[in-house]
Amino acid sequence: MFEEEKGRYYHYDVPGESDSVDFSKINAVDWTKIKHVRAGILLLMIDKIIHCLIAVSCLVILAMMYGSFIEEVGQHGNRAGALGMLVAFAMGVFCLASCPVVISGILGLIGTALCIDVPRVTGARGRSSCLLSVPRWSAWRVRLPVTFSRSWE
Amino acid sequence: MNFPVASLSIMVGIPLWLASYTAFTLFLLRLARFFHARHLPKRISTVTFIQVLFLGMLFVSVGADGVGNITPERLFLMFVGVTVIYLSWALTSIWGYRGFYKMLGNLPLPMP
Repeated sequence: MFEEEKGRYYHYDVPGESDSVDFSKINAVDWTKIKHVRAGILLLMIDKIIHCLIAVSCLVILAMMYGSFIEEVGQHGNRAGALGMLVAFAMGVFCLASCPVVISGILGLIGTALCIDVPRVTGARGRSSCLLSVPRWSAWRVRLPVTFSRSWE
Repeated sequence: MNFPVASLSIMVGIPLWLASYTAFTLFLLRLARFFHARHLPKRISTVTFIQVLFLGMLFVSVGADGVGNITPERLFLMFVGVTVIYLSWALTSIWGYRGFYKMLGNLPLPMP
């Protein structure tokens, strides 16, 4: 979280401090609309953790076969053998990683399906349900300090 | 017509992957706008920028030598590079989703 936003969302119960969603207006119905999005994001995080494990295991396997690979290429000059070894490695990784990839794919699909329904509660102001809606540039505006307040009144 | 299945799958798979990635990124941006949070779009842009940079470096390095001139040593390095890119994508995605999860986790419980 950036410095400018620290503490902003942790004090949601003080609407004056938060120029964000008016959380005080969220009711039980809105809560049910938001809960599944949180579950979807959690599933996607687990999905990415599985991807991390697959990537790390690939790196470990590559490191393990580096010695034999160099021996195969360097001493004998057997380039076809080395290429075959690499192709076998790729096929082996695909086979070994198929189970985590399937689990991760299922998690990703369910998570994405849960997240597609963006809640249109208090602050959503969704103009349409389309994902390609026009960005609200006012939400991205640069906030300048107001130096000329109405002190003359 | 003797058309290789692998080429067909790549021709179909890459546009599908790009479309799904773009659609989900747009969804994340919309969710970030829902919270009026400026740090979440920054995280998404960072993840995308790092991926574009890494993949661009990979494609340029392969294209500079020519696909036909790839040696086994270079192929080994390419495997390592692709795995590192994959790992970086997964790690930065966790970083991006963590911001969303923390944001959603801070919602108050509804009053009965």
